[in-house]
Amino acid sequence: MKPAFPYKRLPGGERGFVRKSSLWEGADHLLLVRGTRFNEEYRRFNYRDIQVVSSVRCARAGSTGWWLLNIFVFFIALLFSLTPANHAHPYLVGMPLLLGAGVIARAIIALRYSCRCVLQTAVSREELVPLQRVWHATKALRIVRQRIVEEQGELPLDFGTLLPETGTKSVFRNRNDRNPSGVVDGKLKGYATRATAFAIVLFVLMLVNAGLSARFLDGPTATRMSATSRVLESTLVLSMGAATLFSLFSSHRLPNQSAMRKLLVTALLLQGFDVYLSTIMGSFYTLRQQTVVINVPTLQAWRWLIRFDVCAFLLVGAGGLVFLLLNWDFLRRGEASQT
Amino acid sequence: MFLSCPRCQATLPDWFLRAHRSDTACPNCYAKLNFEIFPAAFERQTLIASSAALADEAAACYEHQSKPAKAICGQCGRFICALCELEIRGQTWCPACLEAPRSATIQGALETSRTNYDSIALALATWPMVLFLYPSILTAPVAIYVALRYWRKPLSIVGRNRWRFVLAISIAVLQVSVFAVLIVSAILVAQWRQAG
Repeated sequence: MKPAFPYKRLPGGERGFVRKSSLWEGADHLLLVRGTRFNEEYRRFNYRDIQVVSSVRCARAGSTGWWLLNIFVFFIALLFSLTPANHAHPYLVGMPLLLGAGVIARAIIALRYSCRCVLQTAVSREELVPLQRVWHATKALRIVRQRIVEEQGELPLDFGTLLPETGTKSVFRNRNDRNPSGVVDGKLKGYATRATAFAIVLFVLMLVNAGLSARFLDGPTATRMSATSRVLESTLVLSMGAATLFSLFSSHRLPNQSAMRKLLVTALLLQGFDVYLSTIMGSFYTLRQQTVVINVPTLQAWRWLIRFDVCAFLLVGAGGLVFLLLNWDFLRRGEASQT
Repeated sequence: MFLSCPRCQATLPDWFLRAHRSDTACPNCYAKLNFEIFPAAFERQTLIASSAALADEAAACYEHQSKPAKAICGQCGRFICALCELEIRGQTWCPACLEAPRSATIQGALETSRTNYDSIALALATWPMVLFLYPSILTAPVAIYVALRYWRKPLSIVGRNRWRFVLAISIAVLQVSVFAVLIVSAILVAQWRQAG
């Protein structure tokens, strides 16, 4: 007779394109399984050895691969919907809205409903990677706590007397101290994280805008922009502006991030130029082709302006993303960038 | 015992530990922190006293003659010291018994990693077909080989059956058949044209 399967899966889990992890409840130990699609690593924690279980609410993005896939599919759907030939199909127009809402929902969950759980024994301190969402962590830790208490019992009410006086003080820094290394305290790290997050959104949107503007490189055509296209483009412009302003507002409290502020101000000026250009170009698209009188020099000038616009957005968007990637750790902590 | 914030890694002060089950903010990063301490945090390491066989103060460890024996191996009955004592699933083992060939149950309790050959076989059978198609003429036989070669290898300890192997073999055989038919058809057509 086949022996009973010794493990029961706990809520939670990480399943990305490459990495995966899960948590399992055993008879006398907790099993943490981590690895890739082709390999697994096992960590066992006996219930009787677990000293502390801690969890903290913080932003957790989860699998990078799924994020990239979601955003990629969203942009593909957006480009399809903006193609005039597809405007007869309403679902193609509604699809990017649905996918965009999915991306936003994912972002909200990553920022507001995520956590980090750590398990501590006498010899190790291990993060429980599968428990990244608050609802999974709540259920799983309730079960784990129950098993630990069954094994170890509860602490007495006066357990404080058992605790030796270590004289441990918190390592948080006195805000009045000048810190030459430029490391900021925890509250400002929140601003740094927000500034970085909004900057990422901004630079990605700038690349999208460059792609959309590239449609007009051949000069004004007879194609009229539909109301949906105008709404989507307006949303894009407003989103870029909002992301820039939020990022600037968050980063102005950080004295060490002047490089990023300069990049954001450049992006803001470029967006202002783009809005001006779009407003002027919009006047062409409200006219029917037979009534448009465009003399050749003006057309050439507009084409060069559009080329400059596309190149500038590509440069600032891509350059900004590269800058963020190179200085990711420093910017998130509010420290000075190293490049 | 030290407790540190899972987010900013800052060591938390003593008064934080005395809170026992705290639902408050980290004083360093202000993140909402929740933790619980268990009795194991206060346990001292105690030497395990065993049966009457160890009552003799002169009993020494089988491996370390200068150290007193503290336990008895549950497999071979040898006296072992605290250094040699290994507890696995409630049983006491000595190093010699642990090195010997052991049952699958104990093997599973000791393993720290395993390779998922079933996933490798399935990936070899499916990924080239999805991505480029033509490399599958090479990867399909490799997938069949991997599936058959590692069929009996133990899979994940958290429970997997062999459906990935079966699927990999089925897909790979289908690919090989299709390519074989295509090649044979091309040869026959060429011969027919030559004859015609």
